[in-house]
Amino acid sequence: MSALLCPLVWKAAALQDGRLEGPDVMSFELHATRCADCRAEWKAIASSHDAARAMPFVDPTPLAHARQRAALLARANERFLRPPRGWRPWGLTLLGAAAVAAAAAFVVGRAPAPLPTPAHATSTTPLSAPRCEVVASERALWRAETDGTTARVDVADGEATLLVGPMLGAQRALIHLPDGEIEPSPARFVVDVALGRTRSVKVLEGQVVLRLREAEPTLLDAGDGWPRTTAAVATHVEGGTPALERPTAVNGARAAPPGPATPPSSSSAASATTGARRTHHASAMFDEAISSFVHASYGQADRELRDFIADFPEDSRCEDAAFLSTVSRWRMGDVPGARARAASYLKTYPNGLRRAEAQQIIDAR
Amino acid sequence: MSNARRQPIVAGIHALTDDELVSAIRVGNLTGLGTLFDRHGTSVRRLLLRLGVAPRDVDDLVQDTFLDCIVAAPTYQSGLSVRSWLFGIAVIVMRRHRRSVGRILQRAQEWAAKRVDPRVATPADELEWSQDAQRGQRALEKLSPKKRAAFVMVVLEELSGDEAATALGVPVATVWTRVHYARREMMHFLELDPQ
Repeated sequence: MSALLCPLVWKAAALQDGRLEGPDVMSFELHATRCADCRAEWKAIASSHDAARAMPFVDPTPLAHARQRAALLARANERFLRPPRGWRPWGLTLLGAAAVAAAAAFVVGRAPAPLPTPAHATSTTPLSAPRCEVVASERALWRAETDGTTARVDVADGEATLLVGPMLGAQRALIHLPDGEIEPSPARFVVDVALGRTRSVKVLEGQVVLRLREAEPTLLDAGDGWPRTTAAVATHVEGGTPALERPTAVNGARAAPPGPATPPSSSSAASATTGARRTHHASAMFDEAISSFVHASYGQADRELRDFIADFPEDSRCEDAAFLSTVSRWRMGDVPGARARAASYLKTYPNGLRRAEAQQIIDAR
Repeated sequence: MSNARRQPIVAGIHALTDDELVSAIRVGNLTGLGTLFDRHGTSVRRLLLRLGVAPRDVDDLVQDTFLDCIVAAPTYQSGLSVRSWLFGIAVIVMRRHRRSVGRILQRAQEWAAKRVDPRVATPADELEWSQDAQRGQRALEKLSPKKRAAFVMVVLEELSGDEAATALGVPVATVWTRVHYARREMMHFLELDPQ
């Protein structure tokens, strides 16, 4: 390669990079048929590119991709809710501690290296609690945390597949739902939550105990589902738009009806129609507010969510609305307003599902 | 509120261009981030592997790249290739990862334990990889990080000179110079490493 005699040999690389224009390409190709230097250079470049391109890649499986995606969105959500970072004088202390740790590792580091962290570690609880993996749908709202030897997962909305590993001694896993909880033994199951209620539970492997408010605990084995029979009722309202009601369960778990819309009247049919219309109106209003939120019109979303809370104070979605209103103020950059909303949320819902996030917003500097 | 905004949210997000997705991410739309990950996650992963990131670290760095793009979104210039923009972030994330205290600590531990290179291919890999691929990989590993980044982006990922220059934050002429020397060194290493 060192004794290149032809002055046009540089054009071989330029041709590979696409830096030669039409006439130059033809001219060089013609030249290369006669010039051994250029031909050899061209061939060597092509063969080096081929060797570099020959490295095989295995694309992640759809499941691995879905896990990565869920972990990414969970981290993004966490990062968003984290208080703003300022300059921390203890940063230097940490750096010093890291240097000391590095020196210690140098001296006593003959122990085997720790096992590499699995890719889905962000959705896996530490070893002190049982293994609990969550693969959630794109728009699901969920949170995993550990409390000593107990792994807790809150599923607030959407569909999630949970895998709970073997448990020893005091180890326990609890899945919190807006209207109850699930206690699994080692199991794999799918839970679907919508509008503050559990819509279905399907056990794929293992065994779980389902405890819903106002219902006896139900034991579900692999292959079982709740509700055992689905009798979803579609109530038609004016304009033909169906409003889905909660499926009726045969195991005694009673569906909480939508909040009373109007005082009871003498005619039950008229009352049902009015109730359905009001439920439909509430859903439309809530969807409108969520749409504004998703489209980043936070000012508008905030107004619509406040209107929703004012108009339908008995609706089960008010808690979500109150929290999203807080987030809207936060994303608008109105930190004091967001703090006030978060304080109001905690006052109204001291055991609310998003209490930790609300507290984080209050504590933000 | 216009009628356009009444479209189904998920369908709407999937129909957005890359440019529009970055705008959505800029205002905190995490669904947009998920969609961008669906579109470009695999190519960012492949780029990082080609740049020499260990397979055990690559998934974390892919996530870091997409998390950083939330922060970098306000500086994104509309009209640029989002793929090359993400590649630029990935290169920065990779450099940061190599410099991080954790990595230094880990290297110290590995050195102290005298462990072998964790990226040594498994027997299955050995069987699967062709000899050409192994030679190419060895030659690529001998390049300096800067030359390797330019070579991978232009030759293997087929970015234009301008796109690679934007991604790497250097003038176009610098990209071509690095690609030139990288190619020379590759050819030299391949000559010394016969099949």
